[in-house]
Amino acid sequence: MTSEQYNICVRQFADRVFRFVIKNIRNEADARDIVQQSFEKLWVKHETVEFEKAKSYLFTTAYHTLIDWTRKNSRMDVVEQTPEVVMGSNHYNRFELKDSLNSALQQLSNIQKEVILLRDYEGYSYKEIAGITGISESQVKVYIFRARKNMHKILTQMEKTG
Amino acid sequence: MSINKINYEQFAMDYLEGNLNGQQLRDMEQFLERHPDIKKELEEMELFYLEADEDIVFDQKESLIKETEPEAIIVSGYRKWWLMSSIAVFLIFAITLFMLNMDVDKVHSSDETMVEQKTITSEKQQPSVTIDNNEAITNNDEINTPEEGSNREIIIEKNQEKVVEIKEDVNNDNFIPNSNPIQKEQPVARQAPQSVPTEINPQTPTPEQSKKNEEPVIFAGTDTSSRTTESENNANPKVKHKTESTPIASVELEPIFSETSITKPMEDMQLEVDEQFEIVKVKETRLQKLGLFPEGKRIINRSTLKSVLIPESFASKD
Repeated sequence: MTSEQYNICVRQFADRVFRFVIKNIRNEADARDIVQQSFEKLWVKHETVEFEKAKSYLFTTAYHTLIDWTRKNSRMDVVEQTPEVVMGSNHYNRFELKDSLNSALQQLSNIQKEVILLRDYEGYSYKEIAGITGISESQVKVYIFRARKNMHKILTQMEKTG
Repeated sequence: MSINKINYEQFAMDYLEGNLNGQQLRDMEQFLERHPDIKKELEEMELFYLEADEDIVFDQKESLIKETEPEAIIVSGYRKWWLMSSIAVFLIFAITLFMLNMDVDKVHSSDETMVEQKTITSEKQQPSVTIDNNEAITNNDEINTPEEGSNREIIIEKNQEKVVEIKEDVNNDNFIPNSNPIQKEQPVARQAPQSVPTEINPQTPTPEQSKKNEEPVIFAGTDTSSRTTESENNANPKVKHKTESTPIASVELEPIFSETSITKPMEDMQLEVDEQFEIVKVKETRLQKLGLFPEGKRIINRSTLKSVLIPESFASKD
């Protein structure tokens, strides 16, 4: 990959990597640092990384950086807030549902959050997520199933409590 | 792989998303029939999908941008091999073409040298020409006035029809044979026929004598029987037959073509006529000394001169 192609990656993927990271750690400054580190690692390896695989390389790097950051910051598992909007299946507008989903997302485990973000935000296949996270494809399917099942429970609970 | 309560989760998402088919779909349906609680859970499960928040952007992209530099073409594997092979083939072709052009240039150069040499001999009229082995190369029809300051002596070799020696005098008016010659090529000294009786010409004038007369001279060998070839391009009014023997006569050629210039009839000279000779003017020569001609300049036909130079006729006259 040339330096020009690297710059294309910055313009195309920086926002998406940042969203993926900040949805996991909810710390904007740390999320920027992780994005910076991820692109710096890509730049160091840019001559050996093919342009077509740059996106996967970026998300893989960001994921592992995120894991390292999580290990250093146990606050990752803290549930920050209780959803203020109770969500019913078909009774909430788009913005309310969006906020509820984000709230439910934060109640998931790290691995569930990571794989479901890669699946829903970036549209990666189970196999691709397995490649990024380093876990098996079957495990990815299990984590995603559990993530959706938990979100359903959380949102249902929000609706009942709301 | 049979589906059970331990592993059913890895098939659950594909079942919910409708991605199971064939045997796996039948196995999943059988499993759900055996476990109605799980079937109810899946039927009531509402799938929520997250959407990316486009409002969240990374505002420090410029800090990640790197300066682009002209980079070498990164090639690998067979592409690199093909690239190197193509370059090698191109270089071989270019070198071959270059070498061929060099050979053509050499040929042209040698041809041009020959042409230039011939041009020099043809353009610059020489006041004196030395002919080896009695080669008659004069043709007075082409004689021009000698170029000023280019009094030269040219030696022409038999059967090669090329100039092998060009000798140039410093002063055109004072021609000195064999003085300060400009050697274009080593003159080929050819052995003159030994049939020339040198004792017949004890007072044969030498080039030095011609120098005293300040007149270009012709040194003609005595063996005229071998004069069978004639050069086409000789236009020099002064021709010298260069031989190893002593010249027997010194005459001056003049571009006089009119037979009316002959002041003395050839019959009176009792000389034979040879068509290969042109009009010549005799000044003070051995012929005069021998009493063949009266004093002063005489215009004779070259053929008569040839006849004079024939030893038998000369001896008879002598």
